[in-house]
Amino acid sequence: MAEVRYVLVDCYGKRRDHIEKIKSCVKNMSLGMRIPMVKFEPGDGKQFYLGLAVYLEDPSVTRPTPELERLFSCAGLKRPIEHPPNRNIFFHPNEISKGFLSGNVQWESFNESITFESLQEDLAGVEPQPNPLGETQGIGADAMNKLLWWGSAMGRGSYNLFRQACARINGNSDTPAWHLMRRLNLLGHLEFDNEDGPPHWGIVGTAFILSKAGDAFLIGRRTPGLINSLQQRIDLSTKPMNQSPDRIGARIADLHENMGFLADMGVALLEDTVQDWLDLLPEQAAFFSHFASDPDIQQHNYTFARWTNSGFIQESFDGRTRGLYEITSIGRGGPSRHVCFDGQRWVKGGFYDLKWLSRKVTVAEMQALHYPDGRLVVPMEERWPLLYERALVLCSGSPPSKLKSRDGEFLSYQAIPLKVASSLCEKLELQLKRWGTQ
Amino acid sequence: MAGYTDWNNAIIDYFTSGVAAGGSIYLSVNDDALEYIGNKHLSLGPDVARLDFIRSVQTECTRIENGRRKVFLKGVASVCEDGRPKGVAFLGVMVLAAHEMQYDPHHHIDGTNYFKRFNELLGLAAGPQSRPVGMSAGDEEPLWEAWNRWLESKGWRSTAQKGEGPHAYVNYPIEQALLRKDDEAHIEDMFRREFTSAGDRAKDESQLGMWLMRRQFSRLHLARGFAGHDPARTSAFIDSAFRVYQSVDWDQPSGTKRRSSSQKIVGGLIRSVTLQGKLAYRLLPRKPPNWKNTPLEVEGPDGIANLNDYKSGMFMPLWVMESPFPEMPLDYPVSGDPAIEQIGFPKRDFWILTQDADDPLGNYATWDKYPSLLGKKFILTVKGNDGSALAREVAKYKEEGLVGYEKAFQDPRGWVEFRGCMVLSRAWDCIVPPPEAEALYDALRPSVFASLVFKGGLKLPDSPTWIEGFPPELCIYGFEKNFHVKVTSHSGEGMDEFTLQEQATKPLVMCGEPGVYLIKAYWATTLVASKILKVIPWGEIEPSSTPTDTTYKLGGLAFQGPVVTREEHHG
Repeated sequence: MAEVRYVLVDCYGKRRDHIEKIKSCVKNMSLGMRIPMVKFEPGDGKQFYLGLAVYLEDPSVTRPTPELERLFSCAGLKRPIEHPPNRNIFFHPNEISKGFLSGNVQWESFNESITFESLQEDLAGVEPQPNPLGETQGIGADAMNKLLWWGSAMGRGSYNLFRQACARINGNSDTPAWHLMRRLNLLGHLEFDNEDGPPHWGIVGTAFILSKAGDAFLIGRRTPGLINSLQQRIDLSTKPMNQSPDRIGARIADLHENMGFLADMGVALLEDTVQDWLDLLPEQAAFFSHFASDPDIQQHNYTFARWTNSGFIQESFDGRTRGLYEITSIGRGGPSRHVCFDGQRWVKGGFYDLKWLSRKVTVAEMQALHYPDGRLVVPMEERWPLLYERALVLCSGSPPSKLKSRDGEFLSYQAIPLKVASSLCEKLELQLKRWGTQ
Repeated sequence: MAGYTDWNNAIIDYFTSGVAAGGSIYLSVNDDALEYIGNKHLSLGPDVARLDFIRSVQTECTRIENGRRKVFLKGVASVCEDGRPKGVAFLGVMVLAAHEMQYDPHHHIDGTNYFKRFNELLGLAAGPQSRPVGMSAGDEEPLWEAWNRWLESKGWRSTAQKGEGPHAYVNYPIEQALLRKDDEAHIEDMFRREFTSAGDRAKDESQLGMWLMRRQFSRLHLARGFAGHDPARTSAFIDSAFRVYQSVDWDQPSGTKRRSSSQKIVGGLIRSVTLQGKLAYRLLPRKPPNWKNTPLEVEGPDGIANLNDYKSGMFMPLWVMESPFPEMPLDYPVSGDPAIEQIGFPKRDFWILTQDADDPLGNYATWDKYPSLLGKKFILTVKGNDGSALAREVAKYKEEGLVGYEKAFQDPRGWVEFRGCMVLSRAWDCIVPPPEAEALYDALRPSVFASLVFKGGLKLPDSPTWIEGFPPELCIYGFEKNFHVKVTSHSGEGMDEFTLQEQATKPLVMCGEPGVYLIKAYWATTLVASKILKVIPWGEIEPSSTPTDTTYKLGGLAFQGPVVTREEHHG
């Protein structure tokens, strides 16, 4: 940066009058960049020194610049003090702070100050709050494609970053970002972690997954450029999905013939991933035993609203009634949160996981219906815990579709082999009914 | 031996390597750069590079007529198939000549002296005004313009400019040379005289930069370089000086041939906070400038670790530091590249940590070598408790309205964090800092009058690049009320002009289409800030290459998209 020097002037009169006059001239002559401030001796005496701070591009300059001459004239200032031997009018800041303007010195700035901005939401973000009352609504496939492309280019990020991107891509839609993230998570494109550091997400590596429908579908990081590159060698099918990124499919034989190409592109081919899920997912009791407890919830320090078919209903907690609750701290304030009382402890976790658990502990029988064409239909109210639902979605690469009948609303999953449905229902202790055998 | 085209490409690769889009490029060709380029990019043996470079340029860009060698630029006036300008190696020789000019105590830019040196390098016959035969005044300008255009098309900031008056064209190479050979010897002498302690000899770039900016140089070229009004140029000067500093062999007397540059990787800090509120500082190594990627390993407190790519200019964070304020500088040995010996962690009294829009997790770290704080929130960590000299100094700055901060947090481990800091005023001359606080004062004091900040839109990591249809909003932080803003396309076409109030935001809707845009802010006809904005189509975005490591864990299982595995347990 340019160096600052001081021009010292011996003044006579009222300090404030001089300072205001100089300030007015500096402003009118637009000299604020070059002449940022003035220092002056405090006091009531009529004679005083003032020092004009001047930024100099060339610190070897010793004489007034034309603009300084104009300022002196405008402000009615006397000739500046010169110091020998070369009649230099510019003083180093150290010289004036030890000499003419030492001790208690006042100053006036000729520039504006910046307004302090309070910290906005940390880029790292806060824990996302799901909206329990609705699934994704009004979000188009084009927006979901763009969200996945953008996420793929980012690789990973904070929840807040994702939320901001959703708002920009989604325009005025009121679909909460958490739902969009959950959709990408369900389809296997995105993983979310709120245990290791601030909550953050990552788009998984690009891979083709062999589906149970007889083809393979693309999962993970993708961009239009990557898809175009794949299409140079592999015949891809693109199927728009309801409120989801497109399902990009390929023939399994094509993939096997182009393994080297896929490896060069950094695209994996994963065969029979669903079997790993069947082998490793535990039974529901063991699954939920790993969910954290919240031992601090007491009847007297929270308000409670219990989930029913009509939504959350305010009611006191009697210490026994099992179910999903929305609780709000009475003393500490803060947002409401969701917990499930399973009869023994308060369980913390994802909203839909807790919703399923609450149903499990309150309803005698839960069931799913399997069709010969591979569809598995589950009542909307009994939507499975996310990880078990993901196992279903990985069979086809397609999200469930919603069905409505006189019996209620249902979710329908495609291409679910009977073996997969049986295994997962057994783990969740659900009754699996087979269409045509009821 | 390498051909002209090989040298042309290698020079372009060297000077653009590791520079984030928006960064300034100086074609500062000198012997150190040629040696590195020759060795790493062209596999030439030691002490061969310079001769080979000059020979290749001589072969391509000169001809012998009537027994005299003259300049012949026809073959390098165009661009290669990939769009790269062909004349960069020739321009490199021009800069090399400027680098080797002798110091002139009268500060003259002497075209005669310059061309004398240039002609000697290439064995050229002198024509009118000492210019080489075959190169009249301005003949070389199209090569500079092509280089500038190519840089800007890639999103970098060009710096080569024509001067004024009789030496207008000579200004191009002279200003690109940054530190000349003579200057390097001069500042090396300064370093040897003044840096006597271990701490002095283990500074990082910003510490050296602050030290240099406080010096009063009698050489006008250095005074203008280290204390000029262009922060990008000052940063480039400091970088050059840091190379000299790093290559000084302190155990040998002055005048000893310096070691090759890039000896040490500079270690900074990245700050992380767990959900449980536990605060940790990790070592964040910075990649050496213009360095060609080679696998590296470092020996740390927990054994050997790989130095992996992180974001442009940085390696992945390493181990947690016991304290950000060690009593002595720390060194960690590095292997894998003979030019790099160790990671050095400096002894400091304070750290300035900023957020980076390219860091999706919002960590505070030493992302910038020379952070420009105007318009940014940052964390200032100072050694000692809240009664220490530095902490009291910061409180004084707040009292005078020079800075603001949300909160001062005393860490029981022996430092104070001032969180949510912001520089608010330009009136820093109201305070004369005590000697122990000079470095802190210099680091906080704004060096610019205004700063342009892009907010929102859909930005891609590691470059000022946004996706079509989702450009950012513009905000200006500065020390006046209103600024005049001009938006032009890369080709110079005016897109829009408007007045923008300080700290107000304006959506850059005129920048929604793919292209490179130059945003300039003026105050009272003076250019006070500028920024490059690049917008690319969806079809050009690429998947991130950062590792896929986000994993959901539950009950001994690890889930990553379609994959579930048992968690590994390390015994």
